[in-house]
Amino acid sequence: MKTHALILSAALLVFSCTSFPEIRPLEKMRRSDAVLRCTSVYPRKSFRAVHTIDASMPMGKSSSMMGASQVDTKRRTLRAVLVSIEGLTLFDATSTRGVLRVHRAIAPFDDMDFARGLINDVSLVLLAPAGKLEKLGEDSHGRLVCRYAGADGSRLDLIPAVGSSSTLVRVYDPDAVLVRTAEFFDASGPLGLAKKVVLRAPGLVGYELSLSLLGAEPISFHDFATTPMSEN
Amino acid sequence: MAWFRLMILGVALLAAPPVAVQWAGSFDSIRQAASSVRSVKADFVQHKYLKILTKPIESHGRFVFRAPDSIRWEYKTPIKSVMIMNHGDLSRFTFHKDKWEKDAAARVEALRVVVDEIQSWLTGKFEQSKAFRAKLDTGNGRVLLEPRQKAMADIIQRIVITLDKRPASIKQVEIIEGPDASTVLDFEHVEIDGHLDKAVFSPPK
Repeated sequence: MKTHALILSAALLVFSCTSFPEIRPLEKMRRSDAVLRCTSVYPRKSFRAVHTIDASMPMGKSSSMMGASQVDTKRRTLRAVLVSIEGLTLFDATSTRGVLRVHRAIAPFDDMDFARGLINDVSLVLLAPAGKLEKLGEDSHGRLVCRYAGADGSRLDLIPAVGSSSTLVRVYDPDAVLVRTAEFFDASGPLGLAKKVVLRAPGLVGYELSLSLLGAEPISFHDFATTPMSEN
Repeated sequence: MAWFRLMILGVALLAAPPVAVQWAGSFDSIRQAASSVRSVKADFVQHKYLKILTKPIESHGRFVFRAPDSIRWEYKTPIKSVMIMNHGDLSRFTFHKDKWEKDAAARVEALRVVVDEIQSWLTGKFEQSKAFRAKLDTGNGRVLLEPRQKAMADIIQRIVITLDKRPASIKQVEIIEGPDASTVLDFEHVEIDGHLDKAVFSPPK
């Protein structure tokens, strides 16, 4: 019993000691320049894109599909459609500033928690952070970091690429536990989109999504307005 | 005056009714034509149309059928995947992280409905489909499939199969999910009763 209590106390101590990674202040760089560098992997203009998605799930399971997305950067509206290799639409949903509308979902994609998680993951890859820019600085490796604070106490760190390196996004929950990472490789796609993005959800039931860009093009507000969404 | 004649000819051609597919006068004649086929090989191009896209998502692949119950349905781009039914045994493989991986049995069983449909089309047994009610449009050489159950209609509104002029050959399959999405498969380089490699219905290496 004593041993259990000791382990529990140690575990609590470890968790209570968890804090967001340290960011040292930057003096030389202007705030606007830093933000511009941090968010360079996200197109400024609205766009549509098509990716292949390779998912690695727990227990060694894997799945591949195609994803089409339409992003209105100003209104922070995202429509994401998942398509099976055989061409069947598995999932179709729109998120406007976090409000989700599911247009079509075929099992196992018909679970609302799953839908929310999916849209959050797609948003992380395609939309610049929505939170308030809390800190700018450099991490322990001397890399520029832009830290955004979410309304729920979560934090999102954006570490832009230097030279041929990849851009990193790290999301921490309010307890400073790392819950998502996204790595953007080769930002030479149309509109500066990364040709490959690897998103990871760590943990026992963690997963990895590898997105490869097939194509992208800019769109106008008019395009969004003329694509009414049918409810299936 | 020549351009005027040409224009008249063009309009006449457009207005002319499509040539009926001779071998597809009835479901019985389709079944009869299909029954003589031992194998079919074809390349296909799949276009996935979505309302949010200006251009469809294009996939390319290869299709092989050996009567009565062996199918290889292979996608080469943009994602490599092979679905194989060998004498009724169904499996699917996807190229994942530089190697072929076999799909879980449960997911493959979900595909059996699709494979059973394809098999019934290839053997000309459209009317025997458990999931779809078949209507023959002899004038246009098409078979229209409509879901029997609402559960299926929620996923697929209808399927239009355009038959080729060559007996027992399908030219195009259009799967309409609803106003926002459809998939069109166009078959080309169709070879009937040609040589089949022994390994064609074996797992990919």
